[in-house]
Formats: sequence, structure tokens, C-alpha cells
Amino acid sequence: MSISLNGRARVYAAAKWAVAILAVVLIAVHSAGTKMSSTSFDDMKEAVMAAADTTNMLEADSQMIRRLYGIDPDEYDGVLLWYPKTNMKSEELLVVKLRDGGQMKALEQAISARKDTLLQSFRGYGAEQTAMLENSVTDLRGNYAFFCSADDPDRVHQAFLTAY
Amino acid sequence: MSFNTIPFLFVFFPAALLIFRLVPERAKNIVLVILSLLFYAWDSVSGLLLLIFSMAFNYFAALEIQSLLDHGNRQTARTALITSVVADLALLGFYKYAGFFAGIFGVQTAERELPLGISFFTFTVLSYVSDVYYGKAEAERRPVPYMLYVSLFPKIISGPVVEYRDIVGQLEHHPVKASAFRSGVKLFLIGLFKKVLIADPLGSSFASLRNSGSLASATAWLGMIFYSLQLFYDFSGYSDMAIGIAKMFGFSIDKNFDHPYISDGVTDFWRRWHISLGHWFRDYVYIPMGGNRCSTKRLAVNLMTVWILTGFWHGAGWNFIFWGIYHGAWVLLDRFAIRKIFDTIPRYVRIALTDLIACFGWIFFFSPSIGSAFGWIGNMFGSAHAGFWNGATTYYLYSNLVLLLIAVIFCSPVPGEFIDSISVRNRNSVLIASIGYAVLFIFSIAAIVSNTYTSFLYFRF
Repeated sequence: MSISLNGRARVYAAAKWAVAILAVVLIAVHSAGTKMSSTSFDDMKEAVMAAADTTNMLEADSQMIRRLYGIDPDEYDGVLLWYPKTNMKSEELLVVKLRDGGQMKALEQAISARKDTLLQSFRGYGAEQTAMLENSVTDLRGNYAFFCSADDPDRVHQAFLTAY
Repeated sequence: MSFNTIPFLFVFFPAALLIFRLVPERAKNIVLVILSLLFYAWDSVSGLLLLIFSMAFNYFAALEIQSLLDHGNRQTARTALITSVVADLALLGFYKYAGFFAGIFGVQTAERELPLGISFFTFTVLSYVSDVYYGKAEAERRPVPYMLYVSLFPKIISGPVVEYRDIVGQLEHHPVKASAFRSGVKLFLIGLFKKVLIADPLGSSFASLRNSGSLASATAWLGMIFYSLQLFYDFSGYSDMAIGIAKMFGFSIDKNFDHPYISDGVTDFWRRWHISLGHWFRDYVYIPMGGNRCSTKRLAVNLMTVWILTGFWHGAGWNFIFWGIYHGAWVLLDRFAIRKIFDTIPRYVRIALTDLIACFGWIFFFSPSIGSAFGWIGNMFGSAHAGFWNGATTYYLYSNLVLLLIAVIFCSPVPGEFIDSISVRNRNSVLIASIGYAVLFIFSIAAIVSNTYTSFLYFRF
């Protein structure tokens, strides 16, 4: 190899490839940690709905999903949203199946923004609702996103994890 | 962290400006690098590691290339360049294109979260190693100025894609002049206005229209116009904000948009839209392929290759590749066939035709597949059997009429030139202009607070 003509170049090349190997290891570890779900959206919906108490909620249509989360349901493989029947409640359930991994960031921001909006609207007078929102569960996992604010969000989350 | 969020506008940005202002001259760059990495990590900690790896890999790659060139070993330097480019593209490909290629062969793969700004920072580091190899710039031995080039926070997530050769002179010393700072503030406010008060409401109307069931022909046409304007105001707004912020930190970055919807030809349009990406493809793909100093056949191949790659850069989907071919074909036609005919018709007609060509192209941008894009085009010509005009058309047109008018008017340079002309006349005009910008800012903040956060369209690329 002509690299031997230049000791400094050889050092730089070695450093370059050492960085590349580290990057490959990091990517491999990171990729192994994000297992994708092959569960269909309908099956996921059925599993989550079986565990959720939607007494105080209404199912959102496309328009309402766009209004509350600023996302276009057509751009995802599936979106399920139940939102509070009245603005005095803070129960909410969102399950989204992503079409591609690039959508996760926007969805994460949308969930965070929605949660902030709800928290702001109850802060100062709705202690129970605020506590419920603070105990809510957000899980962004592989090709699914989950958000639940409820009396027992862990039960619904468990159903989500089992179906996942 | 996005520019159109309260944490950025009221916490990160003022704090960054203040810290940058207070630290001594020799510490400014390192502080700016730390701030830039924090800005990036805010949204993507795992992406930050990739960004650091990419920066480190290309830092050493450029030094290796420089050492080899200094010893006259061009052949090995070329090999080092090629392996570095392949490694950079492999990283981009793994996250952005692996699923697409696997899908072609019927292999189902796991979806991966696209690291924020990977398309932009990959092109940035490719520019760096290429410029070093082609002798346009020296490899930077000091890590801080180099890291500043790659990670500078205004441009890291969605560009503009700044070529190393164009900014290298500013990396070590970038004093903030008062006039540049003022111009940066102005540009930032204009960008915020474009994004929050024009692009977002248009986007909201477009999303609503898109999901309103069977579309009458005129509604489908209206949807195409909504999206075309939204995309322009969204991305040019982001670019204005990025360039404005960079100015406030002492950097001068060329404009990324130059009133593209007043172009009078397809080639002209692409000289005015996402200018930095066009320059990147010109300098690192088109010219190395031979540019226009070759046979007509070869030139056509070069142009089409650049356009297919441009389409593919935007997304791993057949719709983006088709979009690239579509524009490549128009650019070829413009160059070889219709330019002379075009030049004989009135300029306003040429502008209208160019906008029509561009807007049709955006249908492939917003549609998830080629099939659905053609479905939309079918709707524009009545395939939904919902008539030419119905109640929904009237509703979407009238409820957005003022917004559309503002959006169309501000596509032209005339309003900006008018505001500039009155603001330089006398001292009172400057005061009035300042009040105008302050009002714009207040309206923008009110819109941000009252509406759901809307990401920039180009973040997905």
C-alpha cells in the first residue's frame, strides 16, 4: 500500500477507520435495541381498546386528530385517538403506527406539545387532571407511538407492550 | 430544537447570543460548537453520537488526503477520498435508503428513525473532504473551526448546505458587525413570519382539504396551490431564519431562495429554489461528471443523473425519483427544445407556465406514492366525479382568500423592495419599520402559543 509512503497519512487513516469501526458498533447496538413490531394496526387497536376505559372519552376523527396533534392521519399506517369528552377531563389515548422511521421525531414533538397544552390548561386549578397528565405514559417504540393519560395508564401500556 | 418553538425563541437563542457576546474572542468558537451540539442533542441524543462520529471520521479523512497530496501521492489520496465518500454515503444509506432498497427485493426490514439533519450534515462533510481533495481548501488541523463548520446550529438540521470553500475564510474569525446583526434580526423575523403566519395556516388548510373526501376538480387544484405555497414559505422561512441567526453570530451565508415563483423558465426556477442544494450537486456531481463541456448526449445524461439524485436525496421513494426525472426532463426540454419558443411568449405567461410545471411536481412531493400522485392529478381533471366546483371548493377558497393573496403577493420581490425603500428614507421610517417588525414578532409568537407545534417540512429530509 502506498500509504506507507507517509507515516502521518497512515496515522490519520488508522484513526479514520477506528472511528468508522466504533460507529458501526454503535449503530449495530442501537439498531438491535429497536425491534420493530409486525402487529397490524387493527390488532394493536383491539388489544389497547380492551384494556382502556373510554367512558370519559370520545374517538377522534381525522379532523380532530389534526387539530389536537397537528398530524395528518393519512401519512401514517394507522392513528387511534381518544380525547376527553369535556375540557374538564384529561384522559387521552393515542396509538400511532408509523409508515417510516423518519416520522417518529415529528410525532414525539406532537405528543410533547399536546401534553404541554393539556398541562397548561389545568395548571393552577385542576390538581387531579395535572397529576393524571404527569403520570401519563409516552412510549415511542420502533414503528409505534403510544401516549396514554388515564387513571391507570400502566394497564393500557402493558396491553400495548403485550400486543407489540 | 426547532426555531419556531418557545424554548428556542425565549431560552436557547437569547442565552446563546448572550453567552457568545460575553465570552472572550478566543473562546467564541468553542462556545458556539458546544451550543450547536446542545442544540442538536436537544432533539436527538443518539443522532448526536452519529454526528460526532461523522465529524471525526471526515476530520481524519481530510487530514489523510491532505498528507497524501502534500507528498504528491494523488492516486492514494483519490482512493482515500473515494473510501470516505463511500463510508459517508453508507451511513446515510443505512438510515435513509436501506429499507427502500430492501423493499425492491421484497425484503421487509425494520424502520429506522432518521437521525435529524443527516442528509444535510452528510452533504456538508462530503463538501469538506472533496474540497480538500480538489485543492479548493486546506484540511483544517484544528478541530474547533472544523466542528463549527459542520455543526453550526442554524444550519445543521435543514441547511442551507454550505460548501466548505465558501465559508472557510469565516471560520476562524467572524466578527459581528452591527449592520449585519440588524440585517440578521430582520431576516429572522421575516422567516418566522413566513413560517408561522403563512406556511402553517396554509398547511393546516391543505391537511384539512386533503382529508375532505372526494375532491371536486377545482378543490384538487386549490390543494396543489396550497401545498406549493406552503412548501415555499415553510422552507424559505426556515432558510431565512437560519441565515439570519448565522448573521447574528457573524457568519455570512448566501441566500437559499430567490423568489422562485417569478421564474420564467424551469432552469431559472432551479436557480432560485433551494439554491445551496443546487450548487452542491453542480459542484460535486455535475462538474466532476463533465458538466456541460461534453457532447450533447453526455450532457443530457449528466443533467438527468443530477436530477434523479436530487429527487432521491429528498426521500427514499419512487415518488421522489419520479419527481427528479420529471424535473430532469423539463430541464432538458428547456435547454434543448422549448427555450426558443418560451422566449417568444410574454414574460407573465412564461412565469405562469413555469409555476404550473413546478406545482405539478410538488404533487409527487406530498403524495406518499406515484399512484396517489396520479390519483390527485386525476382528481384535478375530474376523475373523482365530484364536479368542477362544489361547496368545499368555495369554503376552502373563501376561508383562505386573504392568506392566499398575501402568500401570492409576497412571492414577488416587490413588497420587500417597497418596505426597504421606505425604511431607508428617513429616521422616522426606520422607527416605523422597527415597530412593524416588532408587531410581526408579536403576531408570530401569538400564533405559536395558540396553535399546535408544526414541524418544518424539510425536517423529514
